[in-house]
Amino acid sequence: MNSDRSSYGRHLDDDAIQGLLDAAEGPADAETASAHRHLVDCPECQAQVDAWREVFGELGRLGRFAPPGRFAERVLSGIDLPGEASSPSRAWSWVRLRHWLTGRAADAHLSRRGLQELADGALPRRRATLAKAHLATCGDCESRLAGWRRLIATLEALPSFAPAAGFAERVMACWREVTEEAAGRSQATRRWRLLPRSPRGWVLAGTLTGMPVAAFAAVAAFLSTVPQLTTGGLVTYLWWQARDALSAFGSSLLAAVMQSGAAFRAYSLAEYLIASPATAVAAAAGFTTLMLSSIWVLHRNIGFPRFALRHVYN
Amino acid sequence: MSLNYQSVEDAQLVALAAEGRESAYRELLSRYERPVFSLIYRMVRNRTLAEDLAQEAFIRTFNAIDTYNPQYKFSSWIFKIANNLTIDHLRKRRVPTVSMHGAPDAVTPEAQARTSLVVQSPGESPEEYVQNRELGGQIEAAIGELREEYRVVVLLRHIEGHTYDEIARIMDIPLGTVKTYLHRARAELKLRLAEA
Ligand SMILES: [Zn+2]
Ligand SMILES: [Zn+2]
Repeated sequence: MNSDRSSYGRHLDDDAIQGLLDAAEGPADAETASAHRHLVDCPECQAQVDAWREVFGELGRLGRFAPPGRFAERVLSGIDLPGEASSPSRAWSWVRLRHWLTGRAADAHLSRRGLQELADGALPRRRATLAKAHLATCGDCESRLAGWRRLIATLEALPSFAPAAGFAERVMACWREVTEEAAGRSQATRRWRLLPRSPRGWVLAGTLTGMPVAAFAAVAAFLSTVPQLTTGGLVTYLWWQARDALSAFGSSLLAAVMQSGAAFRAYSLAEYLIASPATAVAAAAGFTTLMLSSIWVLHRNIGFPRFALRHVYN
Repeated sequence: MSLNYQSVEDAQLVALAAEGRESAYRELLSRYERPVFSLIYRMVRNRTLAEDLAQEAFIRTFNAIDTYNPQYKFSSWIFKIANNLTIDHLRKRRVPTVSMHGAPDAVTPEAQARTSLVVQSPGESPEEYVQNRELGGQIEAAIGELREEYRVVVLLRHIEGHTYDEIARIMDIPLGTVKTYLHRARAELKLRLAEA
């Protein structure tokens, strides 16, 4: 009776058939599905299923109506009630009843799977009853069952292991760090976003603002070494110089633009854009996207490098 | 207000933890550090790695504490997180040291020899010594040779004592598959122990 029930080419054993009838009450699994597929092509197994169904039905009816008479008592005496130990005489009557109802040999051995589930206390009650009835008469199955019980007892006796000392403290320290980071992060989003949030950011920002200040200070220091210079004179001089430089730059730029014909091209491009609103909108959108992405790139690079503990959250 | 946390049920502890009470987190840790560590340790068979993964499992659990569904047992939940983490890790790394006789996917004898654990007594680190002592026994070695899915179901069922339904939930597989895995796992263990 070692037929492998996962391959539905073979006949179903007692265990599989009972499993099928039990499964009718619960959700079907892959195993019952394959048993059903086998039954479609196998009248022999179908007949066995019908016989077992009769047994199950008989038991159900007896449980509900319990007709008076010695027959019912005899049948019921064959059923193990939960918590009751099975006595050989009761088991014998049950085996005989089973034999009589199914026309099958009473020495059908228990499957490996049935024995395992029995040892693990996971066999449905009806199947457990039948299995116990067989076990009472079969030393072979009894010793195989003892083997499975030994294996399970060995597994259950295995120790649990403790992590190294201080594990809980390390987890709590890490947890505190994570919650503080999270709190800090939500606070930072409320703060002004442009403030640097890392030492690297501060160095960058410091350099950017420091360079022009240092350059201006150097120029001022140099000028202060010239004795005949007054503050008012310096300001007026600088102002003139700036104005001259600006106007010279402006006129040379204008000349260059006129000479290259760029102004004309820019004018005709603008004219073309205004003539067609769709291209105008597209150009505006392109310009905006470009602006936004460059702002974003700047923000990402000046801001906090990356949240180092991110992997903890995913 | 002081509470004797040891008498508080898991679900209540989780609620207290969600309010931000550190002592509730500590109590959950003391309840589950051994079971969670043991499961992961028997899966990855390396103490340092098992501790790292166990720590991460706790941090993830704590982080998601306000999403805990009290309809299910807390133990199922934390084991689910620990199991996912461990399986992810094993899949990514394909740790060759899982088996004493070579990696599960080592088909040729050369590949088996290349990936098998060399059990040496001299020159082993203190950690290796502890691991060999803890996991070197016949039954532990046999468990170590099971494929990952089989190993998880055996550990959850026979060491942690979860029901078949709980195991199905922890591993996100149908009940029928749990039964099949368990049967095959136990049959393999029995065979290996008989051979030894
Ligand atoms: Zn058949
Ligand atoms: Zn038998």
